[in-house]
Amino acid sequence: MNARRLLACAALAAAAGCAGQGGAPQAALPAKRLQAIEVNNRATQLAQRGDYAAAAGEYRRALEIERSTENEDGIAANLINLSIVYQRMGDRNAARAAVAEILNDTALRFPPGRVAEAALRSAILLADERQPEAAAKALERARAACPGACALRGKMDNVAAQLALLQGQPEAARTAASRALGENRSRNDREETANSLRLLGAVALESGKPAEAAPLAAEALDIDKQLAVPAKIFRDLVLLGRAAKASGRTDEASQYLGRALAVARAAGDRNAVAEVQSLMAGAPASSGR
Amino acid sequence: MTEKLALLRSLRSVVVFVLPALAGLVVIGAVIAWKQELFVSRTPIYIMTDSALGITKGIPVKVFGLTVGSVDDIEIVPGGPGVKGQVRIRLSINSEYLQHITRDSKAKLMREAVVGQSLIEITPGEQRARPVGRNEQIAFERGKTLGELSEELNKSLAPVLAQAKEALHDLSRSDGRVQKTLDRVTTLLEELPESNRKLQRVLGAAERTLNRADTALGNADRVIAKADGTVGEVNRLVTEVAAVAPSILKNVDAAAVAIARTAESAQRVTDETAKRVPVMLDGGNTLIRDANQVMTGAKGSWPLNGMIAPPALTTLGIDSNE
Repeated sequence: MNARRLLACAALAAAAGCAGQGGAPQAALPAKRLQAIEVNNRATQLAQRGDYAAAAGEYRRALEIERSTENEDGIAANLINLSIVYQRMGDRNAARAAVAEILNDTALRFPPGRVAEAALRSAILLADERQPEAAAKALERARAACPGACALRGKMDNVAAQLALLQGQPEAARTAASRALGENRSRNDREETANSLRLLGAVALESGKPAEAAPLAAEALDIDKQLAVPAKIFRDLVLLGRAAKASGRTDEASQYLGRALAVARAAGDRNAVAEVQSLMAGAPASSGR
Repeated sequence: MTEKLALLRSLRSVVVFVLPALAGLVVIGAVIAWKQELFVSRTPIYIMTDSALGITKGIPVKVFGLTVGSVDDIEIVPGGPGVKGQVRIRLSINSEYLQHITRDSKAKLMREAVVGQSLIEITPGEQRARPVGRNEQIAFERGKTLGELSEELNKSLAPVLAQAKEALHDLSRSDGRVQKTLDRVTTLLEELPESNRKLQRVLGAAERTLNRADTALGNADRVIAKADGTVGEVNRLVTEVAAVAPSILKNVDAAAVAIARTAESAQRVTDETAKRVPVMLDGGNTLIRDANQVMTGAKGSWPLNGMIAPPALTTLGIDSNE
């Protein structure tokens, strides 16, 4: 028996123990799933570049592919993406209809995480339309679908704070926003952390404490500038302007509002331009949401 | 005595318990050894190469696509004065298959699919040749690397692209064959109405002259004196018509011939282009498909498969302040 055989015999016991524990190769995804993922990824790239119309078209294609294989997770993911893209295109009805398809469907069994996301999106859309009661119900459904240490908790608390602010309950809003801030900081979710800070700033302003609002809005502005989100930078600057104005620092307020106007014009947001112009003219200020 | 009996009984119970376990282990060991081909008789044969790049111990050796052995050992044979060093590779071949490997067989370093596992494939030689023997050497050559394959793809793509470029360039060029043909057709078509008008004028004049001749002949009796003159005029006009008509008819004929020639030429050019376009498209499609296969294979192979994240659905991230 040569050395090779001896070695093989010595390794026999170990080999027997290890038998069957070899790593199986990763199963390749079926072609249809791959196709749906490719179209979905392309749509996300388009949306991230701001081409929402093209992104919506691709998400619809991905959705049809997912529907053809009844992949509930894929269907829900693409519907949620569609609702976001439609909202950014200004089509609120389509945005609401997209998430309603997940929330009202009784035939398919969507994963609870996706149901929570859809309900949260629904709450955000309803809050944007100033329907706090309906939004609160949707938020409750989101919480029920994602109990415990849910990844969406920070976002949910931010929406709850917005709803409390809309309903004229600054203390409830402060509590929810503070809870959200802690949650979002612990998750290192910078976008939502900035949202929480902005909300706390708005609550402080509503409560007649503009001195407290300014540093919160400034921190939110820092984060939003790092993330380079024009709409959020605009909101932060408006809040800073309103806080300065409420503190009697009119020159500083004009500076902030002027910067907000420049951002809105550069971003091509006509509503934002009108809003900041009315603020500069001394009209009643809008919320800092 | 009683103690002896008790000892025997306990020994027997131990034997009854241990023996089947030992027998089981031996059977398992034998099965694994058989699976590992430890009892298979193997014959070493050798190949020589300038470089062992891509060859490692343990890679399979195949004949007719079947694994018949593996690379057993690789060693450098130092060079001497005027003789450069080489690498000697020992292939351990299952003796059962040795009869299929003739002395003039050729070994070749290849890969499974385009970018799969390395392997050595032996192509058997003439059937009349004797099988290779223990420790004998067979010829070796390297297969194509991915780079070489890519270069080949490039080479085959180049003429297709050149053809496409040439055809498109010819279409767009003002002095190209297609453009020239169209220009000639246009010119001829523009000239046709003028030739037609000339013919009409000549025929009109002829008709008028014949009418006048008819009238003149009707009055011949009364104007007999003028008859000679009129007949002369008729003759002159007929001569005129006869002189002009052939040239116009010739012109029309020439124009028709030129149009026919031009149309034929245009048809030929179109036919040639039509024949080349599907070939070009087909070639392009094949190349794109091949390139896609290469990329898919490469992405699925180690170590690239570890570097590329598996495809997954993406979501836009819900913003509470959207």
